Formats: sequence, structure tokens, C-alpha cells
Amino acid sequence: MTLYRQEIIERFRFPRHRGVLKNSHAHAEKANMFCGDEIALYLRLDEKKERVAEARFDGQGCALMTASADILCEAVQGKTPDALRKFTADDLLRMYGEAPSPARLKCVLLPYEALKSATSLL
Amino acid sequence: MTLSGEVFIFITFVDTWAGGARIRYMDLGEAIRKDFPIYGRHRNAGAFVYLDSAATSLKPRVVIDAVKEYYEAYSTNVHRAAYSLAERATEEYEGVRATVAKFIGASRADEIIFTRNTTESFNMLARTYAEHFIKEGEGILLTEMEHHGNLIPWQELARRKSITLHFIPIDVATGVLVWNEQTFGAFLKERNIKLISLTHASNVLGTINPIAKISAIAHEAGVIIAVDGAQSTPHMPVNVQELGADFFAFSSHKMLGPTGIGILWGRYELLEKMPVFMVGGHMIDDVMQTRATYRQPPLKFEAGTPNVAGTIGFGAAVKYLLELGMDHVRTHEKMLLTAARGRLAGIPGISFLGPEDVEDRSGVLAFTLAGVHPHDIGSLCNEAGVMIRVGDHCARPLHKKLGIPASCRASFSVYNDIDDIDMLADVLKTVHQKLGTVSASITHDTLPAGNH
Repeated sequence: MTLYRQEIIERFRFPRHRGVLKNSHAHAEKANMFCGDEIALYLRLDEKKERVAEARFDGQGCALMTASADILCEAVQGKTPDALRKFTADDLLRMYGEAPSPARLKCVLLPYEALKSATSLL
Repeated sequence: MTLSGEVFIFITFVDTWAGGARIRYMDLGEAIRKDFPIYGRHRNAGAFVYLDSAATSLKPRVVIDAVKEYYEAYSTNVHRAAYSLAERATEEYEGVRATVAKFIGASRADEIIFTRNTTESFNMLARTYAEHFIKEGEGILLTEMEHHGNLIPWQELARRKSITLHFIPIDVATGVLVWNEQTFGAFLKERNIKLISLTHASNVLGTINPIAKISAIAHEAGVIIAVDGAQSTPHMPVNVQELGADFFAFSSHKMLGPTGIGILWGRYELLEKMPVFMVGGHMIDDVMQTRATYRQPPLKFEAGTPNVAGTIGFGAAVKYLLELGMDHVRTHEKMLLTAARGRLAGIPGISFLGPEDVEDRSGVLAFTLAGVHPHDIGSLCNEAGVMIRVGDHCARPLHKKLGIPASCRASFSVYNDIDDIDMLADVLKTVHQKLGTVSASITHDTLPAGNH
């Protein structure tokens, strides 16, 4: 059992959704003081402001946090703000796949914390 | 550059062989693991590479047996002997003071105070000596490399009594203290410093600080010096009198002993002057309804039934280390440090923290790997059966100074050997292949092996 299956390594090395959205409708930053992980999450809605047209993340962090952020950005695309409000930590963990060890759970959930903050701004 | 790393190791071995040192020290490392039951427990469970002794060490059979013997054969209370078993408990318990005094070169056994750990020792010192003798407006001098255990108690004291904290800075590149022998005495007077509390050996950088030089100047200026020996006592011969320390604190569990027992050593005349810390049973001389008188040191600092089993186990650990010989332990760890630096230097993107020369450092080796978060390194090492510490190692201000959120740390003890270092090097190569972002050629062209 590894915390680093191929998908996680690939998403860490070549994230598909890393970047800064200058025209975002919501943007939140979170950091984990303990390990120095930092994430900025950007959400841009479509023209009717009904659904997430694009989500991007930026920041510095471990492989688990980075891969989780990449998975999260993919997952929220096309979702309505209401659906985002109903999105839970367990939803993210399900998409993430393998359960991280207790010590690393906070890495995987930091992007979720950023999503909650960003969603509250929509 | 990878090659030069290998050659470096090879030469080290040849040198060691040529000096006959390898033969003399064959009793340490792999050969000694038979004394540590935990190796047997994990024999069939894949690799068991323990490189986190600076956090806590493994325990030899003699220590476990001493604790077991106390609980099975004479588990009675100390200092209240009306019967033979309690006499034995008291003798064994009190005997540890003399063993520990011998281990650190203290002149008197009654200068040894039993605490829970180094952190409690510093809390005691801050709440007793410092609280009583250091006045508002006076200063305490620490360093930028202190463990939180030798930092937060002083922060709280400074807040309570309006005392100013000062810090000897470190050189980020070399990991050593930046201070000037010529001007240090004047600095102490100018800043009205009354107490210096600093680590003997850094738990992150490995740096061994020049305590004897600092204390000589401190004493000339009338300044008391307290030393954090948590990371020196497990790794090298220590003599508190040669160091010129006034107080010296360390923990059993980092030097093969049980958890929950630590030491505060202090010069007896200082201990006599110090007010009490925790109060209650055991530490009293006479008790009336509204007041009490207290015993002489060290008992006046030990309220309530102490950690008898842990103390007796600690005595066994100290005797075990004395038998091995701390000079042997130090030589063994220097060999491991040299080997580790050589083997790991070939890994692309690696940077070592702390002094380069093994003579200037204790048996810990902290490092970072460019582009890879220390927690990923720790997790991948764990998956391969290699246990290292990752994080800020209870030294967050130091990491802030170094400009990194966290680092990885491999630390050594008597049971570690070259095979542990080989395993660590192999895993770190895999980590680099999986997660590393620095290409081998760039690293090797810009950074000479073993010198970054």
C-alpha cells in the first residue's frame, strides 16, 4: 500500500489545473503552518454565473496536497455554487482514492478548506 | 560526482581499517542490535531502519529488564522504608544519582535532580532560579538554534517579569553561532544579561556549540550558564565541569533509557539558593498547618512519588553506555556521519544543514531535497521501512531563519550502521526519481558533493 500511486505522482509533477485566474469570481488562500503547505484556489463562473467554468490552484506544497488540489479543481468544474456548498470532505477523499494515513490527512484536505472559503464568496 | 561520493566512502573505510578503528569498534552498530529486542520483533516484517534516535532512542534489553525487575521483584515506594523491599527500591533509585553524576562528570550525586524530561528541567529552572534571581529589565541570552523546550519557558518568564530575551544569531550557511570572543563579555554587560541558556548540540543542525569558551566569558561577567544537553549526552562524552556549566539538562529517553525521566544538574550552591518548584509530599522537612519547611537539594525539588521504575531503568541505560564508552559511541557516530554525507551527496538536489566537519557536529544529519516536500520524503521512507523525522523538529524559529518550512533528519545511535545509511540513500534515490524536479546534471554542475 502506497500513498504515492502513479496518478498522484503524475498530478504532482504535471498538474493539469495549476495556475492563477485573474478574472476569477472567488479566490481563497489557505496555509498549513505546521508543514508550510500553501494553496490559492480560484473559481471562475460561466457567463450566466450558474456553474464553475474553470478552477485553478497555485501554491507550494507536498505531493499529496498538490495532487488533491488538482483532483479538486477537476471535480468542481461544471458544478453550481449550490452543489459546491454541498460538496464534503468525504466527497474529495472518495475522488482522491486511497485513504491517506492520519498524519497526512491534513495535506489532502487543505484544498478542501480553500474550496469552502472560496465557495462562501460566491 | 556520484562517483566521488562512492570513492569518499571507500577511502573512509580504508582509513578506518588502517587505523585499526573498525576492529576496535566492531562491538557497535549491527553487532550490538542483539541487545535491542525491537530488532528481533521486526526481523520478519521487511526493513527496519531506525534513524530517528534524536527524537527518542531504542531501548536495550538491560533497560527493559531493570524496569521489569523493579515491577516484578521490589515495586515498593522510595524514601519511606520500614521494610527491606522498600530499602532496596530506595537504594536502587538513589544509586542512579551517583551513576548519572559520574556520567556527566558532576562532583556530587546530590546535584542530580530527577525531572520528567529536558523540557521539565528548563521549566523548573525558569520557575525557580530565574524567577527568583532575574529582575525586571535584566536580560536572558539564548541562541537562534534552540529547541522549543529551551525557548518557550524563557518566553513565558520574560512575559511574566518584563525580562528581555536576546539571541545569539546563527550563520545560515555554516550553521554555527555568530559571536565574538573579544567583545562577548562587553556585550553581556551592555545588555544586562544575567543568564545564558543554550544548547550543547543542535537537534537540527548538529552543531556542537563552544560551551566552555562561552561559559568562561560568562562567568567573568557574573552570568550564569544553563546548557541543554538533550542532544549531546546521547552522542559524546560530556563533563559539566569542563564545560563550565552552572546547570545542565537532559533526557533519559534519548539515551537508551525509559521515557518520563530527565535530569536537571546544577551546582550545589545554586540549588541550595533556589526556591522550590512543585510542592507536596516527599520534598518536605517538617509540616505545620499553615506552613512547611523543605528538605535539602535534590529532594526539595522532587515532590510526590517519583518515576521509580523509569529512574532505575535510566540507571541501567547509563551503565550500559558507560560500558560501551562514550568515546567509542562518538567515534562510531562520526564514522556514520562521514559515510552518510558521502553516500547522500550523490543524490540530486540534496542540501545538508549544519556544519560540514564531523568534528563540529553531533550524530544528526538534517537535509532537504530540492522540489520535494519533507513530508513526502518521510512518507516514502516509511513505505520502505526507513524511519526518519520530518518537520520542524520543535525548532520553528530556526527553520524560519533558514528560510524553509521543514526539513528531513536522520539521526544515529549505537545500533546504527552502514547498512542503515545504504538503505536511506537507496530510498532517497527512489524519492528523487518519483518526485524530484531537479535534474541530476544541473545539481552536479553547480554544487560540489558534500559541500552544500
